[in-house]
Amino acid sequence: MKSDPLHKIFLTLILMGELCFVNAQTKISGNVKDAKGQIVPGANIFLKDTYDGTSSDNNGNFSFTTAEKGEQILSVSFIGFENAERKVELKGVPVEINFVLKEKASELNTVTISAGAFEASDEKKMVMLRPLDIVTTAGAAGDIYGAIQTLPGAQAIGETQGLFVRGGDASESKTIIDGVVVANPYYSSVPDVPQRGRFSPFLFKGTNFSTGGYSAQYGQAMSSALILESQDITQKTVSGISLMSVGGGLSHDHRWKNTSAGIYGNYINLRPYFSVAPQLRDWSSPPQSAGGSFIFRQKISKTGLLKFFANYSYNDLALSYANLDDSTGLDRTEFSLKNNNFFSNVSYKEIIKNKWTVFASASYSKNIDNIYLDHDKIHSETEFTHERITLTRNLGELTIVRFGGELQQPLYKNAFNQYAYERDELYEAGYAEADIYITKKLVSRLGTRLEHSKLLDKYNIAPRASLAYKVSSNNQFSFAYGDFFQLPEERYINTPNNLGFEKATHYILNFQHLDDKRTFRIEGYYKDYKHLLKIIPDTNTNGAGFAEGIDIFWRDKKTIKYGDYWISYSFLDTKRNYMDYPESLIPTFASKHTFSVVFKYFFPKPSISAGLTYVFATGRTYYTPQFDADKTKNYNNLSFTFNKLTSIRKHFTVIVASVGNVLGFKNVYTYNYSSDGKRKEEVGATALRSFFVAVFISIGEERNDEE
Amino acid sequence: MKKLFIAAIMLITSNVFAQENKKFIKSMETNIQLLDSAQTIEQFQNAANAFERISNAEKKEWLPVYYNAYANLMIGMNQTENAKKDEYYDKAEALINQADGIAKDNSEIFAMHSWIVAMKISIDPMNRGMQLGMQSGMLSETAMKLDAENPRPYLLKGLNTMYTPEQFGGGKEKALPILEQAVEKFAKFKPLSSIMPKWGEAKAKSALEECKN
Repeated sequence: MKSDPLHKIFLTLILMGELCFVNAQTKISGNVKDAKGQIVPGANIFLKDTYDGTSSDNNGNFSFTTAEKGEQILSVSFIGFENAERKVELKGVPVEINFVLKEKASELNTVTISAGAFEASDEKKMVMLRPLDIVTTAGAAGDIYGAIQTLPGAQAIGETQGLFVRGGDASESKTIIDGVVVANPYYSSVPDVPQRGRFSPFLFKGTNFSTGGYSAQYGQAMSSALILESQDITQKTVSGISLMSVGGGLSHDHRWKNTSAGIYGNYINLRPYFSVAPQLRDWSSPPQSAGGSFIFRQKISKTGLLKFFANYSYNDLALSYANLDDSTGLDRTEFSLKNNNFFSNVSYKEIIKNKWTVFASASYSKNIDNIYLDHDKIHSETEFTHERITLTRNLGELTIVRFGGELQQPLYKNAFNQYAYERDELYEAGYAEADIYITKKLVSRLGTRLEHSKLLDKYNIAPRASLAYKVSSNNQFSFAYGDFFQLPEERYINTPNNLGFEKATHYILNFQHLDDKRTFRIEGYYKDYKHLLKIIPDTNTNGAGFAEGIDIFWRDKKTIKYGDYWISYSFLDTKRNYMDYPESLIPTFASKHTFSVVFKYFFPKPSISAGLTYVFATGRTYYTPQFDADKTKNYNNLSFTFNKLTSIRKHFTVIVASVGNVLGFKNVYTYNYSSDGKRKEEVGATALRSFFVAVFISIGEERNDEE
Repeated sequence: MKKLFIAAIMLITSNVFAQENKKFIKSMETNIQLLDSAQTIEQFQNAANAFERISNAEKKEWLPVYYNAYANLMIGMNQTENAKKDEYYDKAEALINQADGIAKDNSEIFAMHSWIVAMKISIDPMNRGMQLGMQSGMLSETAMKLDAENPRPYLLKGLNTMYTPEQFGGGKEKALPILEQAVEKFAKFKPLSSIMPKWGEAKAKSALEECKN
């Protein structure tokens, strides 16, 4: 070639260029520690968007060389920690950088508000209860409320339905499903006969039983809120048959890509069961019920879910009571009831831009009771609509702000023979609340709730505050305070009136230890009741009361292999002056000491799980019509349950057998008196012992791992 | 002169380009070997970190994310505390979801995901079995539908069935035909490249032997 030297220079330049790619290595070294000064071995240290990097050794030290040049970002990552990044200048000169990693927030290291709440959830890792624990509790017969009664704070009440929590009566506890209040969560009943809850526990993925101090999102329940969250989209298409000693049911769940729907029907009739199991009530017509539900779920987007639920049921029963006012003891009062109930609920949850969560929920329900009391007719109708919207915003890493509003419109229509009355209420409430994480170990929840009632024509403002402090990864303290207002029983609210909201102020302090084997929790509380409804000598809200006590809960899942047990103890001291009480008295629904043990054991070979529940409560106070006080004897109840897992023609099957009050304790809940106080009768259980047998068959593709 | 100039540019650029693709393959091959021979948590962590670095450099590739998930799953299986196991299984699941975001409807990704969910169940089978059991089954079925020749979903379904109690529809008898299918498919399987997943044959054979007893 002509330009030989130029050629040579050019080639040299190219070669040098190639060499440029090889030389100028920079050595990067350093050390990785956490905020407590402990070394982090196995951390990943690398230059962002390149291949270059290494892992830290057993001393937390790292060292690697890179051919990258100029301004780069050095990144460090390790599980459980936030990623750390630093800018580095790579010029061939050795670089030394030490990193201190910040722990990521997790259930183990972050405190949560726990005062006054028992949560059963499948989604959290460390919970006191799982939804399955509630279903499999002996003595509960699969009824949510039966199982809740074995938790501290709930009294063992057998003569009527409802949750009586920490000295409050049944009206002070509300059931909430997907944010809406359930006006009639129990089947309708007649006096001295408790009824079950309408909804199967299998419908719910999360249960939060609050014994006080609950969030500003909820109101109108002075003692407790049972907050239930329904299941999300069903995973598989499956059908079910249930055959029980009291009736039967069919179900079918269907799953499409982003939709699931389920339809359920059941029929219950206790006549055959009563004919073999002796009953302590005089049934003219044993209880029977028929009903069906429809559930629909639709995924709206990756994070949005629409849920719809509708349930209709009919139930009737008729009982004959002794007329205590009849001195011959021959006269009987005939009591018959026919109930129609419809409940529906639609809810929508969506996450917007990863920061906002919108939750909207609405429900419509109608309940009609037709009651015949000898020749008197009582017609009682409740129509209830409820709408709610809550917006939640994440601020920073952990802090959450919630606000929203709700509208409840109950319409009550009652007629006693020709006397009728109606109550048309419009209840509006707005709420705002923030969970402020001062540190990962110290959180404060502050909230306010503003309520208005059309019937009372009054407002109230309820402050709510809680504080929780995590002493170590398994131990924490929690405190809660709040005002809880409630409308007095609508029957007594005339227009115009001089009544106000009933009020309970809660002060709660608790300590809990929670690890994956054992749970211990001790909680002390004081409830100050003001403006309770009084109807004697006139109707006013000048009543008052208090309730104080200590609840203890201990659960152990590990000590006994294949065994799981929990023990709860409640001490309750309470008095109130309300309704027709002449002065401040101990109410009839409070035992001073309540103790329960729930034990479950799994026999792996025959695949049988057995459970027992023992409940003890000291006698409850009862009154003569002149309000002279006496106490019932102590209450004892031991129940067993057995579940066997098997298959019928390859279909997954569960066989359940349970016995209530196995030892046949003759419990007395309270007494009924004649009007002159001369005659009284015991009110005990509706039967000395109860029996229940059932077979549940699941038909679909082969199932794995279900209990 | 001009020709030389162009040739030089082409040499340099093609060199650089070939370097990058070769770099990816070489890096993957080295670290897949590291993963295959790993026994201790430290060794699995080194492999996981290497795959995290590769996936960080090559954001469009699903394979480094997939192997990172596999390594984290192995670390989880070697942990003794349930809380720690959960932590690593959750990390593996987050990674496999990331891989799914890069490569949709991928049989290997669905198979790996069903394995991760099966391991999560094993921490608390009584409570997690219901929901997660169904999810794991659906994932391995989807993996089979997406690629009928992929032996890994059959291996995982077979292992799952083996460890499920008979009352729930599991047991060695039920698992036997599934594992036989897995071993057959492994014998015929040819990975599309040197870095595509090929693990599991030894495990399938040993599980089949166990079921025959």
